[in-house]
Amino acid sequence: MTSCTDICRSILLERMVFNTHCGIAIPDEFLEHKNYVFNLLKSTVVNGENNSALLIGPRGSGKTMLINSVIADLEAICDVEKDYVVIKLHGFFQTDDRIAIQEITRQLFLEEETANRTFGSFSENLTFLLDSLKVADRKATKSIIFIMDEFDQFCQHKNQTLLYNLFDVCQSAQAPMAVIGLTCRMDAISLFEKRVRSRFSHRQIYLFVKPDFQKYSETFVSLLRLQPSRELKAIYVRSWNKSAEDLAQDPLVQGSLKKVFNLNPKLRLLQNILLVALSRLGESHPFLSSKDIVTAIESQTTDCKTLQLQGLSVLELQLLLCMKYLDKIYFGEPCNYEMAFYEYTKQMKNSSMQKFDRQIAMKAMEHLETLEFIRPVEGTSSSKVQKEFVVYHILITSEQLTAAIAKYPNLPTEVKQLADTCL
Amino acid sequence: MDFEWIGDPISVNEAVRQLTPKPKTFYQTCKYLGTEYNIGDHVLIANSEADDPESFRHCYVASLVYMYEMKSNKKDPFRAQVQWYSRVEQLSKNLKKESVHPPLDDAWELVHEGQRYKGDISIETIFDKCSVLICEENEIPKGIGKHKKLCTFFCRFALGPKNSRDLVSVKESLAKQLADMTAKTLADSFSAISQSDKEPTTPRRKSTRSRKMSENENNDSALYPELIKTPRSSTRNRQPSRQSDNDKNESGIPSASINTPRSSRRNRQPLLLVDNEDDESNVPTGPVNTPRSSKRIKPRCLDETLPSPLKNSTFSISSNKTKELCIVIQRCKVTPNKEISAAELDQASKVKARKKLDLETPVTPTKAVEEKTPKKPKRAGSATPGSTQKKRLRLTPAISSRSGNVTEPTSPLGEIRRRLHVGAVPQTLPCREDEFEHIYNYVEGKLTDGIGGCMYISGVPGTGKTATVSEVIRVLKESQTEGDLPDFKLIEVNGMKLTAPQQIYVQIWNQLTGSKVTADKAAKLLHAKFSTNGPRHRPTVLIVDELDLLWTRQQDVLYNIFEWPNRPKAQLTVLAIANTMDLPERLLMNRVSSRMGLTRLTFQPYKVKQLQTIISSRLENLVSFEPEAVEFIARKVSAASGDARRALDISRRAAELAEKGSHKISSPTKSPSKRGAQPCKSTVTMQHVQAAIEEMFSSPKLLAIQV
Repeated sequence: MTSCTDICRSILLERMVFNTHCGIAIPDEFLEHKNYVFNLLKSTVVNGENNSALLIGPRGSGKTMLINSVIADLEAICDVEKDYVVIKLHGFFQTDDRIAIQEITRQLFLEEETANRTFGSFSENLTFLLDSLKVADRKATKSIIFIMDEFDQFCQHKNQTLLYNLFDVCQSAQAPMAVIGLTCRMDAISLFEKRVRSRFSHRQIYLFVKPDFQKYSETFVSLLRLQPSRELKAIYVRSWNKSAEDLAQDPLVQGSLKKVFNLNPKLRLLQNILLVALSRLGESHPFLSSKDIVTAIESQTTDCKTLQLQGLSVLELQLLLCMKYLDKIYFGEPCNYEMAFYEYTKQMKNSSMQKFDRQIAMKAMEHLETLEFIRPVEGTSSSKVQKEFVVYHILITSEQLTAAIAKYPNLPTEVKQLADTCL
Repeated sequence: MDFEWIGDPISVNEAVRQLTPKPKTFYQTCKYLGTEYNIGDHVLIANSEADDPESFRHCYVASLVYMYEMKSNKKDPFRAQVQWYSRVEQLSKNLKKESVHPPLDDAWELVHEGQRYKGDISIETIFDKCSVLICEENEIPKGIGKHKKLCTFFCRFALGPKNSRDLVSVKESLAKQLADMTAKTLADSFSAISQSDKEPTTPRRKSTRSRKMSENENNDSALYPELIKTPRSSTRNRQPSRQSDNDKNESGIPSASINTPRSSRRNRQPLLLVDNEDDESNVPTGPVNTPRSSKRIKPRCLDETLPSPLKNSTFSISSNKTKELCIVIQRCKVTPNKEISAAELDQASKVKARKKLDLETPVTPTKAVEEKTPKKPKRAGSATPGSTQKKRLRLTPAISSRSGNVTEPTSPLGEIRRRLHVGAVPQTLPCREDEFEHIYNYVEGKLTDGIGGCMYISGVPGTGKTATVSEVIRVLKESQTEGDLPDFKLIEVNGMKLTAPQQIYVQIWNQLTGSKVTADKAAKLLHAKFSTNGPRHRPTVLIVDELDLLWTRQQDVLYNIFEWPNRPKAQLTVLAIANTMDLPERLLMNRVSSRMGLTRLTFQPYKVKQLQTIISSRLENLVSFEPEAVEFIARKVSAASGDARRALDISRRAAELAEKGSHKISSPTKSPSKRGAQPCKSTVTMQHVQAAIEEMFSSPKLLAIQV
């Protein structure tokens, strides 16, 4: 017998992982855009029109969510199996036209149809696909909806062959289809070659979101909110929802959320945080506490560099501090090993700590380079310059150093004091 | 050169002699690469367009009508006039093939071509003999296929008169042809009689003829004792060749069969077969003139047993034997009401005989026959499944069809939107009349003159280059079906639809012949095709879209595309389309741009008036677009790019906005009383156009900053 907590946990975890929550309403300012896209796709499916459009918006602005909800709406009015096919491409998966065309063929034609056909050469596939699209009758064949995520990536393909051909089909009376591109590049249209641009219908839909913390915390609650169902008792749901609302009002949680929001207002991060927090739920721990959220936020927002810094030796830390100090006093000018070591010896003059040789310090410096805390300045070829005089940029921020030093176990007090003066 | 004429020149009637003005000497028989060819034989002709020109699957089939030597033609003096047969796959697409029952057989069926192609070929392109069975419309004869290196085809249909899309029975058409010819020659016949009497007697045979031949001849004469006794065959002037001799015998049968008992003919068949078998077994051991001859001699024998009526008909004309001519004429006179010529009767009896022969073979006591016959069906059977399997593997490109019907938009604005779509095919292309005329005249001139050339068409995107060219092609096709223009082959290639420039060869070759080969092979084959004037050559029109993408470092692809039209025999017209005006100067090497020539045509970006005309021509009589709005769009677009696609997109978007606006207004007040007000609401006004233009021309960065 699974308890309510278990059910609740599995529901919510699924929601966080698969991003299947329909409770997050499309923002009001996008409703118009949604209607626009919906009508576009509807006319493709119902009237057999050819359309193309571009959805432009920064990352996390809800492009994919919008298109998903449009497709869900479309499913409600049309028969997916019989009337249209949705082909999803992603710029990071289909990195060249060859793969993209194979993928289109795979999604477009039924598996069994292509099963006995070994995929021939790229050109064969392309001609095959184009022939299929060409012979297709506007009135008799299924409409095809292309959804191309990370659309700008497709512009990098050689000659933009795929885009040209898709738009060419769109602008000539061939198979009924719609091409919807999703991109975060504002200048996506200028990436097109001129003949591709001419064939594109220039329908651009801009999705801009103003970051709003009020909405962010509302989303936080709605992500956690449960709907009463057969398995879940109404009493439990009510108490759970109440606890979630209380959690959002908790000053500790709000402070942490605000921090996360300022850092990165995307919902994906919030979901990840909640995923970590929710996985702690259990029989003995039926409701989320503010501590859960705060630790989850910490675990999700910790910096890997800070963690790495905690594993350095004291000497390496000292060298880094010296370089950071030099960086500060020289206003970001790069420094070399000699400078850093001189600074180190200067600080070590009247210290009780163990002093290290040049060679050891050199080794430590090289270690820092392999860990990519410092980077040699580009343009100066390292072969000509002696190792000691290769100039480096420091790649970590003083915040990261401070955080690392604060957590470093058994750090000598002298180094701590040094850090205070340096940073 | 392994070629010689056998026998002395024969004379033909004036009409044939006048085919070309140059002096020619006609012959009855020739020997090429060890095989003898007689007038009336069916031969296989190398198809220079196929990957394997001499394979029996790709070669052409024809029957020899005349053979002659033209001394003035130094390179290629030995010529022949042939009558073509087409394979099913070579037939034109718009023929009504479906109406035929039983359906056409792809592998072995031929269709009599009539006079569609010029039949003048070089004898050197002939590489083997074959046999063609002429049959009734609804029968498929037995014994077709490839047996013992001899291909046997069958022919049921002939192409109808020019521009007709029907297939007619080959027998009827041949009978008609024969009747026409005899009618024509009727007048000449009397003069021919007087001429032929003066002809010197020809020596019987050349010594170069193989032993086998004479043996066969002896057999023949032994087989037809009663025929030899006929007054005709015993004439003093015997034909210089054996074939005509044979023909004479065969054509003599119907007339002579009155006194020939039927049984005698039946008896003849097994004997003939034995004779054939004898021949074949003799070949490897017998005296062989050339090493290749052993391969080529074999088919002869079977062929002789299966003459076609054509053989007879051609014979009746080409022969200078006046008496024979008279007989043919007489025969035609005797059976005009039956509409079947004597030759046909003869043929029918022969086919019957052939059938009988097939049936009788297993019974024949000869061992050799028993061993060889069972193989026949096996071989024929094994050939077909392979070909069908190959076809199954090649997937036909198609997209699964939908269940529900596409509904057409009903509202007036929906109709406008449909018409304004870039893809909607307009009835006419406004504002490009001059360019259309230019291209049309150019291509038409090249086609009618039978020469090649190329034209470079440039212009910025969206100025109607491709649309105009395809319109030209459409009109050309129309006038071709009306018969004003010679038949031409259209090839369309788009540089953007190729994965590599070299793939253009594959595409061209594929569209030309329907077969798929690698790029290198295709390039070689195309070179061969465009440098030789192969048999059944048709003019070709090649449209290369997005030419600039075919640029390579070596520029070999572009070089070839512009080199081919300049070859004297290619008859290739190239229409190259690109969007840069100065491509030849900027990108191309001198040797490429020189071959491209100076025929250029530039499509200017559309002007305000033209854009206005384009939009309003699409709207036709629908008045729901404000004229000012159209003008505004035209001005805006012509100022930016002159791209017609843009103008259409904007007007379409404006129509959409107008539709949406009208819905918004009408939906809250959906009372029937307001219905009447709707049409006036659904006009596209300046505001809608303004909004659409703002949407399309807005800068995303500006918008992002505003947010």
